[in-house]
Amino acid sequence: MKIPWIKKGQTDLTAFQAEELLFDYIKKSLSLDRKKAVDQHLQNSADLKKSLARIQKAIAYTQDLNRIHVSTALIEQVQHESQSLISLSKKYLKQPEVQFWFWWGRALSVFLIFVGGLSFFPWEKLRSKGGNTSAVMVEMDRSKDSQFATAESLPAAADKPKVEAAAEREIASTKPAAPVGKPKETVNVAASKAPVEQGFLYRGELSTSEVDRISDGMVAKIVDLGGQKAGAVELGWKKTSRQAYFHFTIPQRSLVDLETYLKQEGLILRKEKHSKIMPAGTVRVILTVDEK
Amino acid sequence: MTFSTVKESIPLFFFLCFLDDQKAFHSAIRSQQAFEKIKKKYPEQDETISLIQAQAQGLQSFKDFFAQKTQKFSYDFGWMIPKELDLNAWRNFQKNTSMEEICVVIWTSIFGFSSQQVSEALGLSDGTVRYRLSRGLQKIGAGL
Repeated sequence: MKIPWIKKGQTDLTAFQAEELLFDYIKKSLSLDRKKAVDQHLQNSADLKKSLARIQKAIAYTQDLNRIHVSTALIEQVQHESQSLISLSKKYLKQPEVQFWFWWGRALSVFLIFVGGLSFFPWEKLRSKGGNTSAVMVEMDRSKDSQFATAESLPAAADKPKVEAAAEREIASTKPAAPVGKPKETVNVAASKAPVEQGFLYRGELSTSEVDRISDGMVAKIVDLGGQKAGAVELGWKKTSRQAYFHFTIPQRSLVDLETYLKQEGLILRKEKHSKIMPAGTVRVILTVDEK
Repeated sequence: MTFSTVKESIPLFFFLCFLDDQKAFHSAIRSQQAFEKIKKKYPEQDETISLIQAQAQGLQSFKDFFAQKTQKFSYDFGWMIPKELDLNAWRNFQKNTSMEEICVVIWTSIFGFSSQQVSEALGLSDGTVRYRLSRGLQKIGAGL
């Protein structure tokens, strides 16, 4: 609803409007038309007359209040405090130490906001869009399930002689098996973190022009030190005409002598971690001697 | 308006608003700073309007502090009050009236600024300022 207000030249005032003009009426700052309109209301309204009297008294009183002054000392104190606060803040902000901490504070705030943003970012949702990549550990029973990846599951293995296939199976068994078939049992990842005893395997390779001589000598020495073949193939099995293969176990106490002997022939053993754990006091060794 | 009047009107305005030495002093300092800033930002603006805006800002800064209607002032603080002047009527008015009406009465009736200047400074309509002034003066008159 639009409230009508006084316009220039308008003389029809409401009592409410006239009351609001009493201050200007007393101050004689009204136009002639408006003054006449207020006069008319004053003649007809006793309440308005009372209001006029009250306002006149109040104006006279406020004129008296205008005689209150403020001492020069207080004015100067206000000025001084005001200026010193401004200059102090300016001076303080210009100091290099303040500037240094000011900018470092800002940088730290930005960094914290960034880190906070990263930690609250829904990474899981993004991961789930890219497919399930959570790790699943499986335990396989190689002897019962032929679907697991071994040398014999390879297509070429079917055509090879039984002995060679057995040797390759042994080689494959020395490496960690990769599950491709149905897992027999899923194991909780947290459970797999429990401390597990670690197995070891000794490996060595030698390239020589005298494969036969060195191979015969190694067989004799291994047997002499109490070594026994570990797989299906005999010690010094000729995998090819140019390579001899040794897979055997030997008592731990004889390992030093074996290492010394092999070192003389130019072969150095290295110890590798392996999933298969040997009985205490026995070590497993795999050697290959290749022709140059 | 001369510069000395501006300097004097700032603490006087807050004294009349609160009738309290400390409140008046602190808000006068804040208001003086605000006045300098406004003058710097709007050098062309009427000084009276800048003064009204600065005083309004000074009031706003200590809004919560001023909500406590304590009155504690001494004549020795720096207020030069005529001996025959009775402050009781003003004290009653100040206690029982809203700050908006008190401010308008001070600016318009005591300092003599026009209602147009006050309305322009505060961004209010002239009618609102006149209404507050009329109500304020009638309350003072009723108490006399």
